[in-house]
Amino acid sequence: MSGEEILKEDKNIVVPGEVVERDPKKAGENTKVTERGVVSTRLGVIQKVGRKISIIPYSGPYRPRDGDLVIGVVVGYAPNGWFVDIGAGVKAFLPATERFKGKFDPRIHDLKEAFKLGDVLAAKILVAERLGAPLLTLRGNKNLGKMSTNWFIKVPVVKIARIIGKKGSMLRILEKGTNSRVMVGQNGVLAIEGTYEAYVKIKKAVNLISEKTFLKGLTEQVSKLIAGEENA
Amino acid sequence: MPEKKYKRIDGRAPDELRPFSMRVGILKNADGSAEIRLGKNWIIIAVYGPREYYPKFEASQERAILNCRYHMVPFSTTERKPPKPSRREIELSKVIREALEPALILEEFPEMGIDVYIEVIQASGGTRVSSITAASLALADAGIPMRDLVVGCSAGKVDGKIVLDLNEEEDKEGEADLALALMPSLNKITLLQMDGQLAPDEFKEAVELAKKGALKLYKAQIEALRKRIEEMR
Amino acid sequence: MREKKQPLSVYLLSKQVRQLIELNKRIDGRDLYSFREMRIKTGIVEKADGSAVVELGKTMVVAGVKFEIGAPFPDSPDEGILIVEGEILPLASVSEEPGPPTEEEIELSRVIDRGIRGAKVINLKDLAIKPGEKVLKVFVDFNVMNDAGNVIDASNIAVISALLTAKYPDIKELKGGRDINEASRVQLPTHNIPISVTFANLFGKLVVDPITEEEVIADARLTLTLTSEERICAVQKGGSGTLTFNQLFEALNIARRVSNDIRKLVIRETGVRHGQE
Repeated sequence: MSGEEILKEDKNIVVPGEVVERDPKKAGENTKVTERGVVSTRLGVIQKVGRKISIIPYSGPYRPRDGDLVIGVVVGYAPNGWFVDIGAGVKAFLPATERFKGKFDPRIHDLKEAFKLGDVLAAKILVAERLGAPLLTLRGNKNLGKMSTNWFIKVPVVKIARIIGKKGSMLRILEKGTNSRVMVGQNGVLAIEGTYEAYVKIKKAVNLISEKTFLKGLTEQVSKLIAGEENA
Repeated sequence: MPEKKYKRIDGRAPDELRPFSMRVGILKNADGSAEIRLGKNWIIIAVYGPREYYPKFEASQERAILNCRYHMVPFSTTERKPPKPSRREIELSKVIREALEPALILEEFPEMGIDVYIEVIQASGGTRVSSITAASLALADAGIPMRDLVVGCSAGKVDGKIVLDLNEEEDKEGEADLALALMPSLNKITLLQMDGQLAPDEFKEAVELAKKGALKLYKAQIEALRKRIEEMR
Repeated sequence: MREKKQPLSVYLLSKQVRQLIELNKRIDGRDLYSFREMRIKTGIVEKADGSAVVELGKTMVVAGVKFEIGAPFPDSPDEGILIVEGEILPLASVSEEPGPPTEEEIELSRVIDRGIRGAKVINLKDLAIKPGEKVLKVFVDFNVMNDAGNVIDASNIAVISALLTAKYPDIKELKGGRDINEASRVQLPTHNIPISVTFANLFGKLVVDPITEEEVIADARLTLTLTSEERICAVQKGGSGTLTFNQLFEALNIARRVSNDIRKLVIRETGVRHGQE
């Protein structure tokens, strides 16, 4: 059997190197156009999005994009800003002017008074592709800045879409069922504003979504879990 | 006298692989991980990355730099091996890295590094090719974009016969030992090494045999990866 | 406490530790004095003379024993040699890098070694072949494959489990001139099962078997290693914080209780009771 023939069983789950489509115009996310055709570059599940064939990846690093809301930790000071770990290979940078309303003066303003090492921040990616660190901003959303809650859940980045659900439907189940607010960072961090019990419930639900991402009837299982009817 | 069916030291047929198994996602901290057992070989791989590359001035602006470390624990071999990397481990680290690099789409992560850590817990012939096979799984587990998987297998000449997947004794006593790794869908060689002596036609036969063995292992790689997603249904 | 680089998830989760510890709760739902779930498997590396893999929660350690023949130390000509050494592999976490042993790895090796020696697990005089010339050298190497906290206790259990189940070349045969590779293998005589219990001092409260998220925020760390008779055979305070004397004696009481449960698990998994000849 050749390499190509081995791959013919079960076309829905694909591995890197597997041809998913002949027409290069239909190449979607996580694919590469080669002389053999459109090839998957990841382990994942095929998804038709409009006319394109994309791969929902099983796993993968966080790739910052302009406009992403992220939740990260302050890990360093620069003369004019803070370095923030957003879980993306390279640390992101938040300029001091973002916090001091454009009038940062190192003689008067102390960076540590605003944000200290270890503080958790919500920010938006202003510019992702930049030599050096992705640039962060605190503008564009009133909930940005230092987080007051301590309830965080780190999830694989590839699960965020499923946790939000179609038009936010899954997220609403989590929030309404526990009477809490969930802020979702595209870098795989959830921040829960609610009680400890709400956090514990949401953590269980999110673990279920991460482990059974492709389960038929997942939404129902999650609803049951949140309502307190737990299955083994 | 009728010709008896040729059996090797461990009773295998000339084109028979040792029993093997592969598992993906076995270490919690690593971004990707895998384990392979082939005969007495037991190897665990961890992948970290893409992540910041140090020192910064040595990072590449065009692609991620792949780093590979092949290492054996002291009790993995018959004679205890001191923990410090030996010259053999250093050479294998290099050739394994060069076997995996062509498959990775490193251009997607400039300035970064990807680390592949190979730890041989028990060694018994064919660790470099098994490491490559498992490292491929760990890289896919980590979600590193790849052009193809990479799979490896060994073949050689023992007792005058060309055989597949030499175990430790055959490696020591045999006339030649050949290690091959390839990207199976692209049909391209990424590792090739040989020890001993082979005539040109024997060499060709050994290469073809190693490739056949590798494709059997490729099938198992795909199953091990697909299983991870099937478990999520 | 540890200044090593940690992944984002550890920083995020360690923020809850303080809030929860005030309610005597831990972030993984455990009691203050409970160990994580532990799995022990021995004899998993054929080529080693003894071996074990231990999973303590997600912390994973592999240990192996190898025997060699060599010259004794000049000041103890009728004793064998025991060497216990460990490494935290680069596989184990984002902060580990390849390189020579770090001070953390050396401390880890020496703490485990002191526990084994202090408890007199092996009688080194049993390992003399020809006093002054030839003795058995016992190498116990352990490797941390995944560090999710408390590598000390996980490593100790891996080392002791590997030793308890190790087979060594029959000394009588070696004395008779047999080659080490040809001699029959017999059970290594062991005499004790030292168990270490590691605590973290979290804002004044002691917790047993800390996970990484607790270690990074802890004031100090305390390891107490107890013999099968509940005698103390090794102690190590770690980290740049402090402990009070009250905490020390409280920890000793807790360790005496908790170590017995762990020892029972080791006995069950290895099939070896202490004090066996």
